Amino acid sequence: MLKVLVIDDSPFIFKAVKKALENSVFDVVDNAGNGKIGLEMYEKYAPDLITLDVTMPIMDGVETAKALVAKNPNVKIIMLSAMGDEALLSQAKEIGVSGFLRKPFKPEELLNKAKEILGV
Amino acid sequence: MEKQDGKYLTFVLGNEGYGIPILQVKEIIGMMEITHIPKTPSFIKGVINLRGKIIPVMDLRLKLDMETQEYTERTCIIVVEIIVNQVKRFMGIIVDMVSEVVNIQQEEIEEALDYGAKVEGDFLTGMGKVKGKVFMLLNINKIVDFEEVVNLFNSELKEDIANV
Amino acid sequence: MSDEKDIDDIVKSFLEDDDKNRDQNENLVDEEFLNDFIQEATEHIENIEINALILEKEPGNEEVINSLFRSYHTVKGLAGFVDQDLIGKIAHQTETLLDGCRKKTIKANKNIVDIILTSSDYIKKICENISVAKDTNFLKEIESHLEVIFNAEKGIFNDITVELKPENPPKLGEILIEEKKINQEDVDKIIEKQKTEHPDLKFGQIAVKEKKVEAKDVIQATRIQQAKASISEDYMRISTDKVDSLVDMVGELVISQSLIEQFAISQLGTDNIFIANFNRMSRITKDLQNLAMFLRMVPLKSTFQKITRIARDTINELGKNIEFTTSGDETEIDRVITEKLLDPLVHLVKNAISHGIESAEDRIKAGKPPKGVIKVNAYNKRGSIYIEIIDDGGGINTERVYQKALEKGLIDTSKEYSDKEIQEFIMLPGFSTVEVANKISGRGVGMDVVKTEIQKIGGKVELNSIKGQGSSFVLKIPVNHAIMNGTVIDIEGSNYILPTINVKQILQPTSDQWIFMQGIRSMIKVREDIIPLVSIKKLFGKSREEEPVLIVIIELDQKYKALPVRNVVGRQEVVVKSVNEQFVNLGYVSGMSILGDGKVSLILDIENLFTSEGER
Repeated sequence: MLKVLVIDDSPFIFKAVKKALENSVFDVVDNAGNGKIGLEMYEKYAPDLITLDVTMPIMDGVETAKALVAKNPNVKIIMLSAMGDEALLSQAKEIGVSGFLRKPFKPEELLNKAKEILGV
Repeated sequence: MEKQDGKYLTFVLGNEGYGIPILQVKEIIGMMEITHIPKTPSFIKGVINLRGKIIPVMDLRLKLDMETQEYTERTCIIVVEIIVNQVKRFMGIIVDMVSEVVNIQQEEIEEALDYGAKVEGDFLTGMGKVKGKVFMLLNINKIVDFEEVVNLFNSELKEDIANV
Repeated sequence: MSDEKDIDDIVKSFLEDDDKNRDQNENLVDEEFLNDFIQEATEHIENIEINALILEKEPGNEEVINSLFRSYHTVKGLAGFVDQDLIGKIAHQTETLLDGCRKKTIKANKNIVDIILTSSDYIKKICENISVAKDTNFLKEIESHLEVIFNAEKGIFNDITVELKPENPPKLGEILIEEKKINQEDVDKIIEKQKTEHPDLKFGQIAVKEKKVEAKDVIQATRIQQAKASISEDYMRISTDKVDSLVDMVGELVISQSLIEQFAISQLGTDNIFIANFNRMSRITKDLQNLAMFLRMVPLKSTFQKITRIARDTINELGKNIEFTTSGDETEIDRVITEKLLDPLVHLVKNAISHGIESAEDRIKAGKPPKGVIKVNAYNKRGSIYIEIIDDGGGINTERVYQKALEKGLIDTSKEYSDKEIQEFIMLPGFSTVEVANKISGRGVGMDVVKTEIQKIGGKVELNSIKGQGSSFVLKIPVNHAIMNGTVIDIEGSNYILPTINVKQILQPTSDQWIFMQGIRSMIKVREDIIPLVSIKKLFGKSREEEPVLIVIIELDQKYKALPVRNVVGRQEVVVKSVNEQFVNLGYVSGMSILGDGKVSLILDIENLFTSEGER
């Protein structure tokens, strides 16, 4: 099973991601409410994939992405963006985020993207 | 009785001289047309227009129970300022002639009673002596506050009319 | 073959069933998701409200702005998942506005705070009832709100008016109580909580947290508090003297203009380019006049708030069961008059509470509901402000009043008094109810003082009372410095003014029109009507009656009277000034004015002409 970590301050998104990836090769292990906790959890779980929100308190998506990439240049991150986040996305791309998914997304969209990024 | 010293505006009614504190004098104007107000005591002549402000005018002679006299070109209206219930009010009083502003020292003011003054006790604050002349210093606040008098007059008048 | 087909069919139907199941499951999931969404959105709304309170006080607080931004951003992001596009729209627009605040391209002022709260309100409404999003009126509201946000981003705002009163700034809790948003009990509880549990939070924050008030109420109260404590930068302090001078001058301007107009028309006729241009100027002057009068007008709201507070205190003190309401607090009145109205109103209200409303037992015996009702209503009518104080109590005890009047020697035993006349005795001097000198009416402010105070501001007090049913006191207060069209008449050599709207007709009577009673001209026949004559003798206290040269038919409420005059001088715009205090009780004069020739003219009180005083 491929481990997935959700870094997002919305319990709803956590649930949505879980729902999208259940009954598949992915196992959603935990949810971090902000980037700081996210980094800690990354250490703890060593997930294969991370879904990352753009706007979070304390440490936002871009900051977190930077930090994650610094830890592991090969880290696989799907950034979940909302309308209007466009400016940040180009930034994120440069940092090395693997993929983007616009909110709201259909469950299969996330699933397919995740599979695509991990080559499964 | 209050004793005040300081500057007084003096004026004449008949043969007598009177004075009121200069601080209470707003201005002095010549006689002008007065709008009569019916059903008021005779000493109230009516109202005048003082630069947009409507102020009541009384004949001081009549107020002090003296005989009235025809107005001449010397006749003036002294506009005084008094405070009633913390509100500033202006009144005009008609006098025969305005004299001058005099300085009366505290020591020169005596109680009115000593002179057997003709004027009602309440209306006087004292008698002042300057340069050998005697002035009756008036309590303008008392003289000019005629609201109750008007009301009393009015209600008496109503009775009279009703009985006709 | 048929087997395969059968199997295919079976598999197909199986799959179809599966799809159906999946759809159903998805619907269930959707509902579950929707509930999750609503829950999370509601949490965000709560944060938004509290943050908005902070932003109101600290418009530069970046942390709060960021937090607000994130809240709306998140709500927007989630809304799409559950097909709540309307919420998404609102959230998105508000988020964009907040982004501007973050980037400092938009200033986070009070307008922004209002928008933030309105957005959260709408979202809250939809969360509470999803179907409201389909209501067309609701949608229209949202549309206009989105417009507002759109304009705000461009820096265009609607003005917020804040009332300015120079008083000691009251506490937030007090203001909320006044605004009827919270009761004293809750205020006390919140203060307790503040002391024990949340010493770091402000009163307003705890109040919202505890759900005792809504965030927007706290914001409103904070603004009222601020306005009372300081001068808002959007306003100027002007001395009332200056405003008075301005109003006077504009009044003079209108008069001069009227005179010029009359002269010009007489010389040039009405069909002239000069007149046309002049009329344009007239319109501007009229606007100017309205504006000038407007400067001095303030709504009765704060006066009503004060009497409501006093009423509540009095009701509690006396332990009475009374409902006290006010209406018409948006009615505007001259600033100076509101100050002078307070004491009389307080007295009338206290009277109604302590003497008007009977005890609960008495009320039940009389078949009334145990709870008494006292209403204070204000409204505009025919150029005057009316304030009614109505109670459904026991009414004035006319027997007792008659007795008291008898004791005081005010009664003429030969005369028959109507109920109303007896009731009006209570407004005579010395008639105050100090016999019942409890703490309430013990101030010694009797009804007579109320009457005098109201008369001093040029008004009247009318009293109506029905035994067993209740009483109503109606204060009629003229709108000060009004400009009215007056008809100038000559009565026995002096000029007086009649309001032109009350002048129906002017005629030269012929001897056959007179009707004599006991040898005196009493009435006049005009076509089919018989109209009573006003006695100038009685009106002005003269000794004899003059022979009328002209008759002015005056009209009030479809009643007519004939006023004998020597001449009708003309018609002109007059500035109405209130009667000097000393002459207020004369009755026949309702105002004074300065005519074009500079002379003061008395404005006759039309109502007074219709009372028995003017009758023969």
